[in-house]
Amino acid sequence: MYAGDSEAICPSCGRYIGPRDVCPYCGARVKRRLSVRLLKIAAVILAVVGLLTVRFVAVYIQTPVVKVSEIKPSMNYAHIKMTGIVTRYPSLYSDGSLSFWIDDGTGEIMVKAYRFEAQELLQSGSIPAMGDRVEVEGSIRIREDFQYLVIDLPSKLVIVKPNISGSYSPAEIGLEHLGLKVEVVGTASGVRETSSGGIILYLEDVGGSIQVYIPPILRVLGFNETIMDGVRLKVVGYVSLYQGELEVVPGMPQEIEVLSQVFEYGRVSIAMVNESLVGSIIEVEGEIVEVRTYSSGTLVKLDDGTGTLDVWIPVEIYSEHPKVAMIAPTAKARAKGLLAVYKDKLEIKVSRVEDFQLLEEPAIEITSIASITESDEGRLFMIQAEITDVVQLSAGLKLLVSDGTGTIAVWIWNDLLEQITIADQFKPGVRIRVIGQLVIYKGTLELQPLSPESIEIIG
Amino acid sequence: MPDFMAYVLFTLLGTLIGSILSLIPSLHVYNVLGILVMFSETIAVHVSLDRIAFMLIGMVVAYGFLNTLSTVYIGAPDDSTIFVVFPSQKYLLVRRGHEAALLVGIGGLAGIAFLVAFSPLAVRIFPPLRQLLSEHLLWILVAITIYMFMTEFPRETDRPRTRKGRLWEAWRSLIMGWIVFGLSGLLGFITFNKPITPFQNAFQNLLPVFIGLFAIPWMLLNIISRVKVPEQYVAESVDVDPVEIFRGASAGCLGGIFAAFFPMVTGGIGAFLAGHATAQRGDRPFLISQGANRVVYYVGSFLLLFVPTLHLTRGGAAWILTTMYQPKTWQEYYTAVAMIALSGGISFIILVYASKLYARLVSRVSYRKLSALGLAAVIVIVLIFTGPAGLLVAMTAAGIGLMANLFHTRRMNLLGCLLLPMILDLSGYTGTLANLLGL
Repeated sequence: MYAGDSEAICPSCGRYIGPRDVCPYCGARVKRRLSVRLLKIAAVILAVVGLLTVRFVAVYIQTPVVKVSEIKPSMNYAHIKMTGIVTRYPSLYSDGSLSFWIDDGTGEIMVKAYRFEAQELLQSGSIPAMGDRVEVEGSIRIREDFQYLVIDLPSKLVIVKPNISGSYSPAEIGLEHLGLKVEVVGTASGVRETSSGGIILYLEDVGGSIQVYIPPILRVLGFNETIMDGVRLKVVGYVSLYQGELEVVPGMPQEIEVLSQVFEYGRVSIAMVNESLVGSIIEVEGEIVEVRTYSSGTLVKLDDGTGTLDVWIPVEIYSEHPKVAMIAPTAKARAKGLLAVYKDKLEIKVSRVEDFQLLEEPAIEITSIASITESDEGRLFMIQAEITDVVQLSAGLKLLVSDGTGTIAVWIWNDLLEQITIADQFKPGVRIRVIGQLVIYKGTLELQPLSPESIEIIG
Repeated sequence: MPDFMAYVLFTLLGTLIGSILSLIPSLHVYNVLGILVMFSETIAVHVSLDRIAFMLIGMVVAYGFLNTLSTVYIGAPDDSTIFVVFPSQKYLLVRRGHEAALLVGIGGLAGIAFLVAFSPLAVRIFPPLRQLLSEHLLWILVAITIYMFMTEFPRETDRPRTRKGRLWEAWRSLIMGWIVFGLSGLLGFITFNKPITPFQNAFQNLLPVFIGLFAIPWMLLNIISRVKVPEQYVAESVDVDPVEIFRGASAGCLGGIFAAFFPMVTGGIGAFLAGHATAQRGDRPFLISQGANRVVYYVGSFLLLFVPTLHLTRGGAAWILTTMYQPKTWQEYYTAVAMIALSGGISFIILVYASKLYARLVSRVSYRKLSALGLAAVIVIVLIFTGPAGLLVAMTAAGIGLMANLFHTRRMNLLGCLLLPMILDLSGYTGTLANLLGL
C-alpha cells in the first residue's frame, strides 16, 4: 500500500502524480513499489473472481415467477418469469418484432419479442397459438399506463399445447367451448381477407355455421392454401369471442386441412338448380326481377324463364361493383358463385366483383311520382318535377320535388354532388329531370341519381 | 392552485432537494428518484404526478450543476464526469478548486441556455432524426467503440531497454483497456440479461454496477493515497474569457446533446467525442465543456421525454418517470423548458455558495475521512436498494474500476457495461453469449 503522502508526489519534481509509476510531468521514474503491484493484482482478482461469482449466481438463481397483478413500477426491467394462456394470436410487425398476449388469471399482459428474437422464434417454429399455455422469461417494461414483457432469450419460451377437446360440427360449438381447443369440419363460405392479411370465413353445415379467423402470422409460418367459398375444411383451433361472436382461431398452418376442393359446374339453367348442387360453384343468367338491400348486402332475384333464384351479393362486393346503380329490375345479369342454403332457400353467394356481370342495362321508365310505390324498390325511374325545398345534410343534398301528382325526395350523395356542375342552381322553383334508383330510407321513398348526367335542369 | 404556479413551486422544491443531495459525495440523484418509484402509489394519492415530473426537473438540473462539487473537491466521479477529474484535481492542488467548480458551473449555465434556445428546434429535428437513425444504431455504436479503442494511447513514457519490453510497454495499457471493456461488458451483459439483484427493485439494476465502476475505486484510491488537499482560495472572479467560454460550451453542448439523444451513449462518451471533434485544448475550455456536456446530457435527455411527438426515454430520470407519468402536451413541454431555465439559474447561484462551503471544508475535514464517509454512503445505498447481491455486483465492478485506474487505461472503457450488451443486442448475438455463459 502507499506508505504516505510522499509516495503520491513525484520525488523529482514534487508534483502530485497519484498511483503512477512514471511522473507524467517530468518523466522521472518513481520506484516501483510492491504495494502498487499488489493492489493491481488484488484489483484483477477482485474483478475476475467477482465476475465468475456473479455469473455463477446468475446461472443458478431461480427466476422469480410474477403475476400480472403483482407488477409494480419499481420492477421496471426486472427479469421475471410469467405463465399464462395465450389470449390473442401473435402479430408480426413491419419492424420484424412479434407480440402476443397472455392471461395468467390475474390479468393480461403483452409479450414482445424484438427483431432477432422474433426471427429465432419463427425459425424454430416456437410461435404460440391462442389457447396455448406458455411459460416465458424476460424483462418487464413498465410505463405509466402500459406494461409488457420482452423476451430476451427465445430459448426461455416454453409452449404447452392443449389437447383437442373434441370434434364438432359448426352448429355444435357454443359458449361452453369457450377457451377450449376444438376440431370443426364444414364448408367455407363468406371467405374474405382482412386489411391486415388475415382470413375470415364461415364454416357451415346444414345445422349452422361458425366464424373462423386465420391470423396473418399463419402465412408467415407457411400457410399457403387458397381458400375459397365451397372448400370443405377441417380446422383445429381455439374458441374465443370476437365482438360477442364465437370464432375458432387456428394457431398453426397444419391445423387447417383442406378436405375437398369446390366443384365448378359452369353455367346452368335455374330449373336445374337443386340441393344436390349445394357446395358447388354454378353460373346462371337471367333478368333481375327484384332487388332488396340489407346492411350486410343485396339480394337480387334472377329469372331466366325456367325459374327464379336468389343471388346474394355481400356489401363489400356490391359497393365495389362498377355499375352498382344499374343493378335494378329489368336489367339482365350473369351471376357466378357458391350455391348455398339460406333459411331453407337456395341462393348463389357472389364472392368476387367480376362474378356478377350486367349483360343489359335496366329499362328506364318515365313516370309520374304518384305511380311510384314501395314495391318498386331498386327500379330505375325518370321523373320531371319542380324543386320545392333544398336541404343540405352532412352526407349529401336532399331535394324535395313535386310533379303535380305527388312529392318525392331526390337524394344526392356528397361524392356525386361534387361532380355536378349545376348543383348551385338547385333552388326552389327550378324544374329538373332526374334519372334515379328508387331506395327506401327509413320508410321514405327516395330517388338516387346514378351519375352527374342523371340530373339536369329543364326550366 | 393554478398549474403553472404549482409547477414553479415543485421545480423549486426539486432544485432544493437536488442541491442538497448532490453535495453528498457519490450519491446519484437517480438513487433518490428510485425512492419515489418505490412509493409512487402512495405519492399519487396525495400529489398529482405531473407535479412530481416538474420536481424531477428541478432535481436533475440541480444535480447537473452541484454534483460537480464532489467531483472537483473529492474526485468522486460518475459516468459523466470521468473526464473532469484530472484537470479539476490539478486546480484543487493549486488551491483553485472553487474556480474549477465555477468554470464547470459556467459550462452548465451555457448548457441550460443552449437547451432553452434549442427547444423549439428540437421538436422538429429529433422525430425525423430518430426515424433515420433507428436502423443505423448498431454500426454507429460499433464505430464509437472502435474509435474509443483506436484513440487510446500508451500512457507510459519510460522506454524499456529490450525490444520486447518496449512492445509490451506500448501495448500494456491498450490491452488492459480492452480487457477492462470486456470485463465491464460481461458484467453489464449479465446485469441486463439475468440480474442477480432483487427483482422488486429492478429499476436500480445498474446502480451497483455504476457505483462499483466509478465511485468506489476513486474513494478507495483517495483513502489509500492519503492525499492532502491544500487550503483553497475562494476567488471572487474567474480566469476565463468569452472565447474560451464559447469554445468550451459549444463542444460540451454538442457532446451532451449527442449523448442525450443516442441510446447507451453517456455523457462521458459524448464529451469524449465532442472533445475530439472540436479539438479542445486548455483546462479552462475543457472544464467549461464538461460542465455544459454534463448539464445538456442529464437535463436534455430528460427533456426529450416531454416532447409530445417524440416520447423518447433517455437517461435514468426519464426511465423512472415513465413508470409513473408520461408528459403529453406541448404546454408541458414548454413549461418544462421554462422550469429548466429557472432551476438552472438557481442551481448556479447555489453552486457558487456551496462551492465556497466545500472549499472551506475540504482542507479542514480529512480528505480520507470524507472519502471513507462517501464510500460508506454508497455501500449503504447499494445495500438498501439491491441487497447483498448488489454489493457483490458493486465489489466486482469496483475491481474492474480499480483495474482501469491502476493500469492507466481510460475510464471510459468501463462504459463497456452499456456498449457491449447493446451492441450484442442490436446484432442479434445476445442469445449466443447468454448460451455460452449458461444464463
